[in-house]
Amino acid sequence: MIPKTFPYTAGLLLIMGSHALLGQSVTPALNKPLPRAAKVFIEPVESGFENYLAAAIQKKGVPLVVVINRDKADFIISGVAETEKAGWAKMLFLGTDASKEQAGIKIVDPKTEEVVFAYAVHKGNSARGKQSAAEACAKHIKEKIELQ
Amino acid sequence: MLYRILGVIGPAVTFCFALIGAERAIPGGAKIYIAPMDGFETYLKAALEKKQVPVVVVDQRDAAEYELTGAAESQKASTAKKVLMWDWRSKEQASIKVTHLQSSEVVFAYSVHKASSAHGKQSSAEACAKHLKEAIQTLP
Repeated sequence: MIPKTFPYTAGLLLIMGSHALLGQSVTPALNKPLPRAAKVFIEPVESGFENYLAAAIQKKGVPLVVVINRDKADFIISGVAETEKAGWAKMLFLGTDASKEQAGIKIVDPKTEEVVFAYAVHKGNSARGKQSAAEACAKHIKEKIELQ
Repeated sequence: MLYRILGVIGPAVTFCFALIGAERAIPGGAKIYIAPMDGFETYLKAALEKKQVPVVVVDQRDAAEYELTGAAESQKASTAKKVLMWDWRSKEQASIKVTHLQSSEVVFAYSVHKASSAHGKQSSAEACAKHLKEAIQTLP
């Protein structure tokens, strides 16, 4: 004797089972590790932000090796950066000519094409322009490597 | 036993780190090619000379062991800055990186930002040169 609710119960169990399976097998790409001493290539970013990023990676002691040959890299860093100069109103009312900086970067594993790390920074009053934004990115890359 | 293991591993690890450091260091007298950076390379060459950085600047990339690339940006003082802040000086920012051409690894990188630069691009170029000289002298 099969109860009338059997199809619904079976369907529900099937859905729960598939969710459990998916939960076990699929790891979000952003949780994947970024190994120490990995070779990274920084793609050219508008206004030379890639140079600031390379300098920031060195300054913050991020355990990565920056290379200029894309083929030799284990990971690719790409991103965008934008600078907005202070206007006269900002200088008059706030007494500062610090620029507004925003940048977004992502680190991709070229073999799997998965994004393993992504970060965006916005500084309304950047004390050191692009350098500050780049150092914020580097600091968070370092955190990602150290905390994993 | 533990002390014996540590006694063996410790110097070995130190030696490995010394090797890694030596591999990535810029030796004195290294041949460096400075890539074009919208005119900033000229200031950089002058700064390397002025700060007596122990490297040889070459004009051909093929003849170089290292390549210096980067970006520089200059922002002239606006009228508002002049009127409100009584500051005629420009804002300068630059970033350079030195790459070992054989291994393609970046061995040195530095960024500078000067909100009120006394000598414009020259100041930022000299800051880069000063830190490059420090890197050459401090690295093994």
